[in-house]
Amino acid sequence: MTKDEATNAIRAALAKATGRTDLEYGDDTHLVEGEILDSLDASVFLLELEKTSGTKIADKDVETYDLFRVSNLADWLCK
Amino acid sequence: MQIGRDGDWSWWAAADIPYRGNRTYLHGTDLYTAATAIVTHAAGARALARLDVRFPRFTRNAGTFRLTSGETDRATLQKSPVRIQAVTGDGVTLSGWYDESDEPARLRSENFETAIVAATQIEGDTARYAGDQGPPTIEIIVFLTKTLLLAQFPDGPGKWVFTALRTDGVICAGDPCDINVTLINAIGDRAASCAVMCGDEAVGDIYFGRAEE
Repeated sequence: MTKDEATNAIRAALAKATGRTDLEYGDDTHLVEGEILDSLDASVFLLELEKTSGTKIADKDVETYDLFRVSNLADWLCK
Repeated sequence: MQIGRDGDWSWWAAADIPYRGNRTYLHGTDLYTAATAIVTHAAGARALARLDVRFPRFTRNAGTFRLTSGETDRATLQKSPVRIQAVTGDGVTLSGWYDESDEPARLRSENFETAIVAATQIEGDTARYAGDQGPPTIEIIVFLTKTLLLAQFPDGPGKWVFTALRTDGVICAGDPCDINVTLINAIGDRAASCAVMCGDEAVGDIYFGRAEE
């Protein structure tokens, strides 16, 4: 997956999880700590991201790679 | 439930939602039912093409549902433990939220969970309802899903909690005996989504997450 594809997959999953397309965030944003996602819709986001990216997300990777930070997530999807 | 209007494209609904069993939060099935009621009231004769109700965190207190046409501002949604988005067949967008008060719910009621769990048949990654038509459809869907997830992912921190349901229109039509849910994907034992079927027809997706109460 390219960086652009990863960025688009993240944006699409965020829109699905939150129902909004006007979210403001940057590479350094932590999606939970930055209050883009609440505790429960964070799980919906990961499920949607798995579907839109076609990449299997292991539970331990979320913690290990701090995947709620946008830059970490984009890099991880590009691996 | 009382539903009123405070503008051309603005509605409110006061629902006296009880706590279920010994829970200290309002159950998603009750919140979903109330959300559906205000959306269908506002939609009037328009058919719903899509209904999306999300529960980003626990709802602890009594409150009032609000619904408006178009998008709701982000700050309002951020504060709300219930978020509603609906689109009518002719393209009108309705969005809503729950204005939570500081007052606890006044009532407490029984729930259908035990009866539905007893009537759940699990085959592989699918759960089917084999009971009578007593419980509301939304409760059958939610407790079928919870039972399936507990069978598939019995271990993990916290409990499985209903976090969102997206459907093509209102789900209540049809025979509840035809309802089944099938696991689509899961993130470890922390989150899962399932397809909701009525017979062979896909009617939507339901989402659960693990959470500490």
